[in-house]
Amino acid sequence: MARISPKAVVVNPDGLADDVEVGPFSYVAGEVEVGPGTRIANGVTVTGRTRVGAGCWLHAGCIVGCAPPGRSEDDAGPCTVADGNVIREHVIIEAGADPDGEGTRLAERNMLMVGCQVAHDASVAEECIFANFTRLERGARVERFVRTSGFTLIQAYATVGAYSFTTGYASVVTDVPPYAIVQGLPSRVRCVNTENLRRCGFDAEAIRRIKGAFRMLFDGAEGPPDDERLRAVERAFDDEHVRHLLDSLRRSAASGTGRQRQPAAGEGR
Amino acid sequence: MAGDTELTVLREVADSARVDPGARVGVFSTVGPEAVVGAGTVVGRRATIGPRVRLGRDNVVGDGCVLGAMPQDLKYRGSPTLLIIGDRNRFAPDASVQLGTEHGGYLTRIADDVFMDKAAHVAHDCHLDDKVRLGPCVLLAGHVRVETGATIEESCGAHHFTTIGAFSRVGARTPVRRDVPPFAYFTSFGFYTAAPAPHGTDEEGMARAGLAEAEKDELRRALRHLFEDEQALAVKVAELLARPDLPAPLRRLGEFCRRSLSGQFGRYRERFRGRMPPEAARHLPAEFLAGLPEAQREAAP
Repeated sequence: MARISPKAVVVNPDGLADDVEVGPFSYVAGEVEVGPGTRIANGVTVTGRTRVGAGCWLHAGCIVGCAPPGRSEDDAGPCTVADGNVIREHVIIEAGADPDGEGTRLAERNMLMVGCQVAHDASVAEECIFANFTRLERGARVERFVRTSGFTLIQAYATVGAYSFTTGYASVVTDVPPYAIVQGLPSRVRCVNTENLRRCGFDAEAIRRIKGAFRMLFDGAEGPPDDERLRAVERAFDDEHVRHLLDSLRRSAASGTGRQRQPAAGEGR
Repeated sequence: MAGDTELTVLREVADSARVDPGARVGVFSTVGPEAVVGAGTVVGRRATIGPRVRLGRDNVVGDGCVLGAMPQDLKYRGSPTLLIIGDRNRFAPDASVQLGTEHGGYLTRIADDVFMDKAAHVAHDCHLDDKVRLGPCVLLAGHVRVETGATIEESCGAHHFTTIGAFSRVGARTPVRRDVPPFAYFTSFGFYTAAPAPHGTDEEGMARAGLAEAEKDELRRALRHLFEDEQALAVKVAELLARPDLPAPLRRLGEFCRRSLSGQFGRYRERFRGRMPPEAARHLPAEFLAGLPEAQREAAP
């Protein structure tokens, strides 16, 4: 049976796995499901159609699954927090805006530090670390193994590519290519995130090829690389990581806005 | 709040916590095991006082504050580390301060008369001296030292291991990646386009330090001379320190710059990476220090 503080409010205890802990003054709404081993500290709010996976840790004062601004909880979409996520103090994760949509999603083993905000319909892949006050706007997507610095802003529908890093105060307006370090307002590619690649098990040869591709694509270039550069890199490197980089850049370029997830006019909410 | 004893059920105070009878704890707040709340301290609503936090006298903890949260350091292994807070500090709503870590000296410390504005954040192993002021949403990363009387304006972020010098001021939204000299006004004027650097003196800081007019003039000249062109900073600092009868504020500035130059990336405290910083060794309770393994007790030189 879940260990629920007598000073907590859990509307439907059957939605909690056996060894879930709920601290005092926390509120867990009726449709919420929480997986085994998850710890909910004091003063936490989990509401809406939220599913929290196993082994998560929700720290004091965070809010998960609240309705997006201007919507009621009855009209909000789902919110999914997969296994092993750490949600620190004062983090806010909104539910999706579309009741029939996929909603807001966090994959496994992410860490959101104090004061981060994830707006509705954003998605985060696994193993990411967001430093304090990182903000994801609606529909933004963060791919796996991304690290952000403090005060990073990822604007609506922007995609941050896998293994990339945003420096402090970076404002991500258009898609960030995978493997990159970006900086500034609007953010621009500075170099390859070699330290993160090394930590994630990329060998020296793979890193060398990615660096070579970055040099050809971004050195001396104003704005995103054109099609001629992309084809030249394709000819120069036969490498799966470089192909992933080029695919990502092509998808962003094809969108016309630099944001591959940007819905066409009239779509989205 | 003193009279609302019927609302006791709406607070959670651990059995092993020591809350002075003269302190007040607001509704929906929690006080963790072995925490100490001193006389005259007022804890607001929805606040969290974590385990082993020592709050002195006459502090005001705003609504939703979290003092003594677990460090956000992936190397932290759950040791019983400390947060020690002195007297007469003010924490605005949603401010947060974390416990220390094993490899950073086991201690986060806030001295006396410190003001932390809304949602300001002090990470693990930081040391804030007396009369420091942090603006809204200021973010101090781990192992940062803020010296007496420094002011950090809103939404500034300080890098790990930086030192903010005494009576200095950091302008709003300035990223601090290197040490900030005492009495300096540190900003980037033209956010994202210019590297943050000292731009003259902070007049208010010098006034708070109670300096004489002659000392202020000397400091204005010295800071302009040192930082208008930093190419030969080490030489200029050596020349400053070699001056006979150097006034105390200038000696403080010169010594600070010399220490920063001796560190890495302009950060003196980089030398304390993975070691016990001297501030922690000085302020950890003797009984706590005695319980540490001998190899971890010794402060870095």
